[in-house]
Amino acid sequence: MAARYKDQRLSQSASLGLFALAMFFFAFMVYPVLKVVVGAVSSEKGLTLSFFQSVFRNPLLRESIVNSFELSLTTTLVTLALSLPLSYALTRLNFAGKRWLSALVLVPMVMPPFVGAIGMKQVLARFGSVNLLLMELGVIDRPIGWLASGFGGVVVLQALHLYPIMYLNLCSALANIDPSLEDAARNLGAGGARRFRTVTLPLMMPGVFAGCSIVFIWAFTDLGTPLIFGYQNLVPIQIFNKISEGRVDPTGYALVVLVLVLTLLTFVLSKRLFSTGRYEMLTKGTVSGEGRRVGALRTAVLHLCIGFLLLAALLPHVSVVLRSVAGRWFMTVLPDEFTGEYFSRLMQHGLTASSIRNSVFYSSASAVIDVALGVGIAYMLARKKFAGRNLLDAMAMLPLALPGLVLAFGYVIAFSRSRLLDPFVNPVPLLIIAYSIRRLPFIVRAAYAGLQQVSPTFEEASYNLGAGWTYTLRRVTLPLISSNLIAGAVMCFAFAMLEVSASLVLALRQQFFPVTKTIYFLFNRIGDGPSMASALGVLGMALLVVCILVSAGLMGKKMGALFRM
Amino acid sequence: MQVRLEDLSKKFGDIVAVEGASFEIGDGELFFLLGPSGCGKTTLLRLVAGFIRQDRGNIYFGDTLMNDVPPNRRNTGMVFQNYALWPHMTVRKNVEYGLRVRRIPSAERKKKVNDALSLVQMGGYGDRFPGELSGGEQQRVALARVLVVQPDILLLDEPLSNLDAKLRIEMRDEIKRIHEEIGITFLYVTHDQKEALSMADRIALMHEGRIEQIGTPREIYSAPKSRFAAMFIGRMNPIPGTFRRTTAEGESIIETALGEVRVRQAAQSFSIGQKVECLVRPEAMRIVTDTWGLASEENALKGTLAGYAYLGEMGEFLVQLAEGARVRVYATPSEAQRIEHKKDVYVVFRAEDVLLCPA
Repeated sequence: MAARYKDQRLSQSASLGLFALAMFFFAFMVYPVLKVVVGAVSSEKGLTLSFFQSVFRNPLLRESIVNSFELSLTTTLVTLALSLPLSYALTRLNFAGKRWLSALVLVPMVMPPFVGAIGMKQVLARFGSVNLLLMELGVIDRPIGWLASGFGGVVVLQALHLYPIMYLNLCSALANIDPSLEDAARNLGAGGARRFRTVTLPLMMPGVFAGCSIVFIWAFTDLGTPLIFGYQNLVPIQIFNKISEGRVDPTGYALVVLVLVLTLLTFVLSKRLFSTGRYEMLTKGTVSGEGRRVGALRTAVLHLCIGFLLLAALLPHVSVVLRSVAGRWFMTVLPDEFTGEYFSRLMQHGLTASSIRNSVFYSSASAVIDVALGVGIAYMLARKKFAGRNLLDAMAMLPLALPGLVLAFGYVIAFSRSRLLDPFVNPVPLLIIAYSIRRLPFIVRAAYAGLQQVSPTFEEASYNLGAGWTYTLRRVTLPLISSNLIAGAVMCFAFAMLEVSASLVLALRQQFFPVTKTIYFLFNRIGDGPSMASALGVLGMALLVVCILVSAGLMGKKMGALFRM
Repeated sequence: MQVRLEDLSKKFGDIVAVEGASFEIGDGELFFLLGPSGCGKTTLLRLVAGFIRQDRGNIYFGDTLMNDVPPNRRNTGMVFQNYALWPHMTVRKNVEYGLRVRRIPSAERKKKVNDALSLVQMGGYGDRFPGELSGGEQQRVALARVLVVQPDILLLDEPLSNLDAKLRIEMRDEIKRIHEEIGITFLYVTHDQKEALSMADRIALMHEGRIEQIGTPREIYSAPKSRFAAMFIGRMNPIPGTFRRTTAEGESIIETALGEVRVRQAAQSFSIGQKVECLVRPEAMRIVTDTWGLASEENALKGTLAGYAYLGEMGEFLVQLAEGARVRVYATPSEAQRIEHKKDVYVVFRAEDVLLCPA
């Protein structure tokens, strides 16, 4: 159905925009990646596939690939299992405290898992708080090796960090379902479970799929969490190790290229599955009223479940907070002494202050770039038909399949000794661009999903009334997808603040360090290092919370839309 | 199935949507809820369907109290204004849905779906998706989807408002035909008075959450019980005046700026000197150009022609009676042709065609 409406022609300005986009993608994505690909298939003797063979011959790399798949699949399923009931409860039911809870469940998304991992290690260590507490309570008599393999720890931390992404996708899918579609099922006699299975869930599928693919790829390419847990046998860590060994290793490049091809295939396949346009609502759905009222007992159960989820999700970060103020913490559930010393030391430390300033600047700049690029790309994809449309789509989605460290390393190779962008001289432009590109797919997806569910007739009505392209975009299209966009922008900002891999690789001089690099830098310092890292992590988290509260204040009533999505 | 509402009321926050609705819909009746948008008619329908819970009052289907019966157990069939066809299911799957819910075996299901689709003349469209159908076709599928489960009551929420004019008139006949064929109770919500007048067995006229009047189309049109009812249905020419006296024959005499108007309606409720309005329908008025027959008319008001619109099957004249008072008068095409170019005219009407209400 959507195809029928697609405008065949492109205006001159749109063509110009496309050209600029193409140049941008070429310079900052294709060219660096090409360097990697070329490195993977060329040897002194010319083209070769031998590096791929050596990937599969290497038992360690083979195991890493299998592990990465297992890890990301498990994380995705756990995330979905958490988010489905959560999103349903918080959009379709009405109970006391719902507003607060719907805001609170998003908090783990902006809590850096990389920082959380530091806390998690503390809590789940052999003689960490959880074991000690359980032993004191007499539940167990010997400490449990929670982190023995690292797998469980990484899954738990990833799932607790990523479920809000899934949740947001599901909520926006739910909000876009015209309530009369469910009423119709109810009217025909379908009870709650059947209605959900036959009407609600199928109509949510674009959202479910969008959520799953983001979470899957995120988990697959996550570097920070397993790094802190020391879970080494994973694809990203193998790549990171090869790079940090300082030698350009074609086997590592081949590994990257394999990941690239794999994820690309997933996306092409998924696009085919959901591009039939049947999911376009004939009318724009609105959340009717506040949902169904539930009784006191169910409210209590809901509070208990969501509360437990939040507790679990925030436990690592709480323990980071504890760590940052702990004077002595050894073999006890809670620290013995408290101190503000690390925070005051942070203040005297010029590096930490500047890194916070840096991070705020980098993240804001990249979020602005992302919104501008994301809206443009999504609009082109959803509404126009042109040669190279599929290419643009692929380009916009490619960063999902592009581990940040590979992109960053590609930048180092491609732009070192260049006159304008040399990261050794000033990595700021490259850092901002890396952050933007890394998070571009999120906002493109968010905007595209919104556009797909907004019937083009709304825009046609505006053209019909004499409005131009930009006016229509500004007054009709953007407001209709604003909840998707705002959520996308906040996501971009938060993730840029927490970006680990590109930060570790690209920020080569201390004066340009973002928060994450400084945390990693401090974490590896002997002595007060981990405590200092925790303190900075706490500061970073606080800053993030403040930023989001400020934007909530600026947006006023619309913030509800952001959190309801 | 008979439907009985007792003192049904619903508020959304401070806004009163429905207030004290009490009436009965007979078994097999084609019953209309008519009113301007925002009058609460859709809320009333959704209360009957069970999608929302009333604050006060009772709903009975037959003798069964339905207040606590969830919507999926009420066995009503609702046709939504936007049809609400599930975009991810084919026409067949859409229509089949209610039968699956009712665990009808597959062979029977297939037959019933085919029957329902042919009842609405959509056989052969089973494998299409709703997005591939026109508005009228979607409408028919939406009807088939609820008819197939043999509901006790069919609820229709402005079902024709999204169709083009010609199709709308066709679908009126179609829905009437289906109603006659299956003979169940229809509760039909619309803001289109022509739809209501032409189709209904009875109409409940709603205004600001209240039931204004209930009656057959003829009663509603010719004997409106309130100014709102009179002004909302059809067209009315209001002529302001003052109540003077009652004659020996039981007629009321109203003094207007243009002279006296005689009204057949006995005006017990008015006191002498009270400001009133005389309401006369355009088709109850006639324009005459000669003065010699005027004496035999019950009411004749002098005026000048101020406008004329050719409407094909008739002509519509605008007559300026006095400062500010303009009336609309319908005329047959031949009459219209004769009057068209005149200037000074008389508007005449019978005393029994005047409706009196307080100003």
